[in-house]
Amino acid sequence: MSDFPHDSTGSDDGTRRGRAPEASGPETDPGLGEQLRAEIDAAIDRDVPGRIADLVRQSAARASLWRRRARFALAVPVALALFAAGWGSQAWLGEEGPAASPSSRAAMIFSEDTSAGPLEPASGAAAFAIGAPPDLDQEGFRLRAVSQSQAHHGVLNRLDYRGPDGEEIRVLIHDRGDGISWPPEQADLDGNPIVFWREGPLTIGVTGTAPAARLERIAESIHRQLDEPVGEALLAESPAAEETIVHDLAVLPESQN
Amino acid sequence: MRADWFHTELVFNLPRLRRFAFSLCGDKARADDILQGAVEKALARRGQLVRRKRIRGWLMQIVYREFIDETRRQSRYVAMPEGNVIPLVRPVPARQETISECRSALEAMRCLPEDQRAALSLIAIEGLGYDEAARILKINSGTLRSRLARARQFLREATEASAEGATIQPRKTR
Repeated sequence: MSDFPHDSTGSDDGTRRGRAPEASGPETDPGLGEQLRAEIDAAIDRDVPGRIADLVRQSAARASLWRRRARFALAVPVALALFAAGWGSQAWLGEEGPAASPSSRAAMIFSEDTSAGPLEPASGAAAFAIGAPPDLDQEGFRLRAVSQSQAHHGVLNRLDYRGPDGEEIRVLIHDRGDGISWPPEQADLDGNPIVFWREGPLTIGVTGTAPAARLERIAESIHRQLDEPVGEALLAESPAAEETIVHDLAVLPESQN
Repeated sequence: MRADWFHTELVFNLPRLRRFAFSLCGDKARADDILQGAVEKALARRGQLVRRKRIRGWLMQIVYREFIDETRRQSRYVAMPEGNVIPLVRPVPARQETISECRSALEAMRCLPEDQRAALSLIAIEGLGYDEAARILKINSGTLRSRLARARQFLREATEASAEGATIQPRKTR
């Protein structure tokens, strides 16, 4: 079955009504696309209206409810538990969410918890080690360093990449998530643009000196690499969390770097 | 709680879909209405989607169809005799501006026919490949390239005309 319900191609109006010169490709005029994109982003605020996000969230909650009902055959207790969890997560979202600007939300999620002390290998962080970092070769960036530190309410992984011209980007992955996804948002973090979003249990940010449009493309690439179940490609059980080998890179807790 | 892939993908693509809707209609409130209608349809038709990798194109096709349907609905309401009906949606603003009044590429883009605007948006703004964009618009790749070339040519003329203070009439929708 086709994913495109009306997959038939239409008539070639270029042939019938006097052929215009064919476009040679999207890459021939990248400046135009960037300009239009920037003008559109300036014309609309980046936040998707709450009514639309709520529509998806409610549908996801219903789907989750039915999945769990079918799985456990505990209709009433599960429904009550999920509604309770829903209320809890709404309250949690309220901490950072609607009232806070995207920039302050990003700062809250991706800042280190300096009061927490060094990351203990035996702590809950052991369950959050990077199995396969995003491959950004196609975007022209190579992984240079990986580090972990304690963040507020979780562990923060930082993956530093370098581009061919020496430009650097950082991918931030936070393990604090409750399964409620967010669409990508643009904000500022430490003076640089950041694109961040949530997928299931992970909150992911891409920041650096590159323009926001390029960060968005990198975010899309990372998103494509997250396969079902969400985050499994990125996360793996850590044997000891003291030292995990990622390709040829030693991943050490921040305190040991 | 682990979100299922459909909702995760839908949420991730919302900003892109919204930008696409805005590039088609040029009005923020209308773009949000189109997006909401498209999201409702996507949630209702979820069963039609077989392959996860196709979801972006599938969603953008729904947005495009929603834009077409909404434009038709609006033109119907606008055509009704005055006083007989209260329009349920805002009327489409008349495009009387000339290219010389287009102060930006975006304003020039609004003067394009909707089929060329859609082609330009998918390829130049969203960076999609020709095959995927052609599937979304339900045309073949040659038609897409043709529309894209016309759109780019028009924008080039618009830029030049704007610089010279000349006047060019907006393109007529075929």
